[in-house]
Amino acid sequence: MTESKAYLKKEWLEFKRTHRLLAFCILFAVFAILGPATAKLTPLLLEAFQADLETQGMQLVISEPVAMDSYMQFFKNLPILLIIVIILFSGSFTGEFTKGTGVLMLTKGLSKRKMLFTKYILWMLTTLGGIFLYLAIFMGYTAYYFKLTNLGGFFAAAGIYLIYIWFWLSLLLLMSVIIKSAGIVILGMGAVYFILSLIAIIPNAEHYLPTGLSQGVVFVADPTVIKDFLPAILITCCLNIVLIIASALLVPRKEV
Amino acid sequence: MTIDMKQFMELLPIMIPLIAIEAGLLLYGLIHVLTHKNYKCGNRLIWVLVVCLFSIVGPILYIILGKEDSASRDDDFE
Repeated sequence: MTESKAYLKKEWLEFKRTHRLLAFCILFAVFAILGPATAKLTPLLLEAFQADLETQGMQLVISEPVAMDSYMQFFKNLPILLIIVIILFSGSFTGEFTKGTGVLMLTKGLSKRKMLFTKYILWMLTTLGGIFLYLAIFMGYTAYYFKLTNLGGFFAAAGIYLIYIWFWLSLLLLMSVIIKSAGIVILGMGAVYFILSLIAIIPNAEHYLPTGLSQGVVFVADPTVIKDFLPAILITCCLNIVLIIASALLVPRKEV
Repeated sequence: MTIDMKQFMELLPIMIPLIAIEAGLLLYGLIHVLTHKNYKCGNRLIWVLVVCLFSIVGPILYIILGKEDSASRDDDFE
């Protein structure tokens, strides 16, 4: 436990001193500001094009932006942030072995399993921290510009999205164990997303797939839809546990 | 697109932090690129262009992909 704690401290310091933490916070903050900003500015932009479009025979009805438009932006920006998180952490574990820095830790008595799970805890904590920062700034701006509505649905949808993010981090954990290079880890993640998207073409399949949890604004508009996605929530949680156990079992075999 | 004074004042709370972040990142990125000569990948010219041309994203790309982990300023070599 002591060595894991020390390793976690070392990883945190590295994350801080390489300014990745700063970049991480700035990205989450910028996207949090951009969500309500886009919702507020879109009608103004549309107004600017209204005259042009009307001469082409298109009729534009511009309505006042509401909190729901802002929520929509919140869920539109989350996948971009998730991709950034995956890219940022993709080389975290594999890099220790390709650069040879992991060997130093192993010779000091830290097991590969402890090394992997310490990194996983750091990924989870920093992502969770980033999401909370994103949520706090976003809610502040949304409350300032719009009248908050459907808050229950919004927080439920955000909670469900957290399970979706947890799934990708758990998958990243397994990919980092079975694959040697960071680039191929990202490709592997992309391949899994592609396969899941293909399966989602089957009618109602998304009610059972992790990708079904990324509906976001659909849940905000009608929280009763969530009960249709309960199998997807359950399956994703089970998959996460399977991915974590598989990683724990496979990591001792990883070549140094 | 024309915005009146009222709309401008309304958008100010969004614009101020975005401009501050953008200017801060640009300055930090540019100073770092110009005072260091070792990068994880690419060269000085590429990173100066990336940092200057892509606002917000450019300096962050530099921090993640270009900036050397160890502190090795130019004067350390002299």
